[in-house]
Amino acid sequence: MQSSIRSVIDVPLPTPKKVTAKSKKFTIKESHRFRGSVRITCGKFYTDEEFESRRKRILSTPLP
Amino acid sequence: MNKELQRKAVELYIRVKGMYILAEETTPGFMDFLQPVFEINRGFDHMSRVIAAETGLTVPDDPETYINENLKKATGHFYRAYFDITDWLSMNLRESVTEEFNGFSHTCIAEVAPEARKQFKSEEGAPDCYCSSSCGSTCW
Repeated sequence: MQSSIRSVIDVPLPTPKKVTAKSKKFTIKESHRFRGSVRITCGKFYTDEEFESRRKRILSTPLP
Repeated sequence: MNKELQRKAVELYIRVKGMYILAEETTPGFMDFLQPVFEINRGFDHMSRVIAAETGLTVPDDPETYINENLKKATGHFYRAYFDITDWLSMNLRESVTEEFNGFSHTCIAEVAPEARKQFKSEEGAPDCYCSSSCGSTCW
């Protein structure tokens, strides 16, 4: 019992994959399986690419 | 067990949660950012190891070290989440400031919000002029 618990609990979680447009599309398609955040279900989240381009756009805009 | 480390991890998580809610509320178009969620998830994974060791569910070789190490790792993940969130939040606020003041002259902004100028000026290394082009120091 002890060793079986340790063999699971001490294993690191898988490294998160990149959030891409493909994964967003898949999330929306499979949303009926998911009971979590409504934003995620509706695909209302930034992909890594979107976040980076938004960041560049905002930082390159000078403040008033 | 190091109570101080445990308290620090939980305190940090409360801050992370508060900032995450604020960032979600200020983001345009109800968009979410998932990277901090991954970090929080990893932090909780380490916290669950601590609870497992404390409750006797697992018996590590050196419980004290095991618990402290996992608390430190959890804190590290919460810090990463915190910095990701503050990065996201600062983008939201910066964009909203730019949009709100769009179309108003520097003189007008200085007239309406004189405190803002003082605050900017008090920052170390803040320039006299915030214009994108050099217009002298009278733009505010």
